[in-house]
Amino acid sequence: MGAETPPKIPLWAAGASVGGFMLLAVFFATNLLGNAPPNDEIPKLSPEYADTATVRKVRKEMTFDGAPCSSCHEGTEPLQGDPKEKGVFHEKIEIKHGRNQHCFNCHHRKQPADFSNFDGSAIKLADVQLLCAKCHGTTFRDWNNGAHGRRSGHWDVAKGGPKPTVCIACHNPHWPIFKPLKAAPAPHVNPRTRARKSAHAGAEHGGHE
Amino acid sequence: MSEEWKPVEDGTGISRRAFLAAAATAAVAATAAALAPMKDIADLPSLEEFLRKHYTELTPADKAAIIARISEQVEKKYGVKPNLTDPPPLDGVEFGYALNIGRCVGCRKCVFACVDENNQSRNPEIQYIRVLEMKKGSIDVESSTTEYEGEVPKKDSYYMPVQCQQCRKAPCVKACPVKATWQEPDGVVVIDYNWCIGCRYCIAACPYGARRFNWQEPHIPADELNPEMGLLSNRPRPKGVVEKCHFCLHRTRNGKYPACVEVCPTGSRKFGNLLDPNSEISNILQNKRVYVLKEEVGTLPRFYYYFDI
Repeated sequence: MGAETPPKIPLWAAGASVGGFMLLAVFFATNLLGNAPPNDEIPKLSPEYADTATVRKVRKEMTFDGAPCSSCHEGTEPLQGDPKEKGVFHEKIEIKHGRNQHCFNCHHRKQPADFSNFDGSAIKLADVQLLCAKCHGTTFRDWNNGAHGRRSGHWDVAKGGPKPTVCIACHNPHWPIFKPLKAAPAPHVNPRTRARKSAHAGAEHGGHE
Repeated sequence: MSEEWKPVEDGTGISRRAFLAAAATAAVAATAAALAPMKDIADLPSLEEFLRKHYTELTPADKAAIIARISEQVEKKYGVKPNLTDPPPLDGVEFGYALNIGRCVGCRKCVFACVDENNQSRNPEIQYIRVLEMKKGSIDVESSTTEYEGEVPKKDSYYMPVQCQQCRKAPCVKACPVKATWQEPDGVVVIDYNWCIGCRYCIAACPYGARRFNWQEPHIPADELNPEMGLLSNRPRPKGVVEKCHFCLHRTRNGKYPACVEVCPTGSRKFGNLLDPNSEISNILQNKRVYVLKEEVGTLPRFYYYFDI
């Protein structure tokens, strides 16, 4: 009997299997699992982080509030005239240089644009490292050898050699201890969990939920 | 058998032929839907790319062709014409690095100068340098943190940046099953980004956590792309390969300092030729108190930490 009439598939079974495939197709096509969770938005690189400028600017000439030393100091000692009439004062210079608290330990008495060596001779601003070397001899030695201070340019002497930065490019001579810096952003170790984490931690990175 | 199984005779069933046709159509539809995301794969490797030899077996002509091809790909993707070169190692040069641990303030400028110089992925973020904030008096890296923020240096902390130590006995080189990473004559451990199979054995082998994996397509803004590129250093990496610090090969083999050395505001980072007795690095190794990280694992790093006192 069964040999003559081809067997029929029960409708529920056929519907279930075809429907199953169709459901799979819809599932894949609409991507019900969804894409991977979006990455935390990482801000663009701020150019300041890769800025190779030194902490301080090195001036070519000695000035005070933009005025050359000679506009008040005539190169004689003591200072001629009433300082109050000259307009600008050095009192606002804060000195925190250990025991070295006297202007003329470093500054030259008669040549206000220069610095003073032990024997009273002048040290030019361009050679300011020699002034610092009066007390900081070991640091000066390290600086000469390249162990102290930043160098840029070329490590290869044949290609031009390193360009050292002078002491006052990093240290304020009146307050030489290195000032605290603001740290660049912390690493986003896992950008997917970071969003969740910073939502708890608060909005220090602001901008995204 | 057929006697026992009673075919449905009430007309609610469908024929086997019709069922098979419907089921096959539905199955094809499901397969097509499942494969649909593959239409988004834009850049399949070209035949030359697929048959490319290992970096160390390339002839100069091969290399020129590869450089031309990669330059074209970079220009197509970023709209910037790169100056892609492959500087060879210099004779009589072995690079060494020293970091003054007493001077580092942990400002992380080196991290971002490196990202900027070396075309690292911004999102997901890849950084070669990790700055560890360590408790003063402790040398336990396990208790350090990399997540500090705000003004640095913090009280009672010192900072120890860690990056690839360019080991003389590099565990990553030993671990690589396909020799995609090796040590160059100038001491720098490099990676052939086209040879790497992404197995990440090297990441497991590295005691310093210095290697990074491109889990996703690296994202670099086109206007921040550094066009000065080296084949073994900072050219944009594909997805699924490992990368790490390479002492800025494209800079240092041309005599320049690495980017992290040039940006350090405290001058803590020192770089030079270990074989030159007058170089700053030789001077530091002779005169300063020097240590290497995880000396006990026997990797013999070329990256030294030193302090002044």
